[in-house]
Amino acid sequence: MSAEPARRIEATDEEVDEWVQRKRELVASGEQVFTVENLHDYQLDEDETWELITLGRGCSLSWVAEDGSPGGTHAKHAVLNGAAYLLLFEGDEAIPALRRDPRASVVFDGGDGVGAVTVRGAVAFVDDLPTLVRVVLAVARRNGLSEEQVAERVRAARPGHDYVVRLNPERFVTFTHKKIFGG
Amino acid sequence: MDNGQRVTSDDHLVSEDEVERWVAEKQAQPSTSPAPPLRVSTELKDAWAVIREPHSITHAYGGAIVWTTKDGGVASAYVGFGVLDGEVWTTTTRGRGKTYAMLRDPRAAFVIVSDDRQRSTTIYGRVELSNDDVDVTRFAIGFGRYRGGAQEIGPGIASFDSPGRYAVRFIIERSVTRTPM
Repeated sequence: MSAEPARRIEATDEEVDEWVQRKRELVASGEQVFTVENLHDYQLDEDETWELITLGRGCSLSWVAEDGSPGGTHAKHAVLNGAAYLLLFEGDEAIPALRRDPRASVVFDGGDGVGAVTVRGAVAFVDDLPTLVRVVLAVARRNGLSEEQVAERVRAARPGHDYVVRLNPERFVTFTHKKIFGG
Repeated sequence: MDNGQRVTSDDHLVSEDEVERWVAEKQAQPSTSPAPPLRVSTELKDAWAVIREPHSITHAYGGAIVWTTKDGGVASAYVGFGVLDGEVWTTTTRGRGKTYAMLRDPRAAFVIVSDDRQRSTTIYGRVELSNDDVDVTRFAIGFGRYRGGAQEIGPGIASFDSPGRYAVRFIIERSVTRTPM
């Protein structure tokens, strides 16, 4: 089920053999091969981390399903009062899973080669109407909607259909391409 | 930022006065039939439409891979991916937590977002890790071409055909694709 119908060959056997041989020769020669393994050199400080989270245009929220398998979804978010709030919608697999087990891992992608931040921790559902309104307003404006569209989104938001979770971080893992490539 | 200051919150986007006004309006006239914000599809072809779309070289070719931890929790990381021989491949290296975790429990999810950040898909399935020289080299060549375009294979080899490298094949079992209405 995994493969697409149209099969594309990306590397021929001859090419693979040639490069395997070249690599073996390179390793035997003792020459340094470029590799990005020491991630400590590419970490963000606290301000850079929150800037990336704030400027990122969405995040990937993940959870553990009832059968113990991992799940994930893309979600919009906003950073308000020093915390990240994520917006979820009725029918999302995340909602029952996170109600049952609030442990979560969230990847914020800075986009444009900036880097990424992974936050591990737990989420807490915030079910009050003022928080829902606040988060919908912030998410809509973050995403560049017109004020007319913002009003439409807020008007349509309904507790019990739209859900807000607050991310309570326990650990940050950060990575920036800029510090590797000097961008 | 233009003024050199870091933006580390969205507090400036919302005033408490407008929140109060909206809350009062919504309490007086609750929403009854909001437009669905997303179309959700479980068709694999819709997932491939997101995976396969041309992503910009600096921005995408990445997604969040999700795995489970030894204590039954969840972890995720931003990783690059490529479509090689019609399948989704990514990579990891020896010494990473996710490598040991995925060798222990191959169940995984992968969240991939379109370049415009509007459409997204989550593919669910399992991963197969290989550190065989031939598999890793085939991945490195293909990944280099996928990212670099044309017949360019040098970057793939240089960046990814390093010691301790695993090629990770993602075997898709189901997908959930989200498109804004």
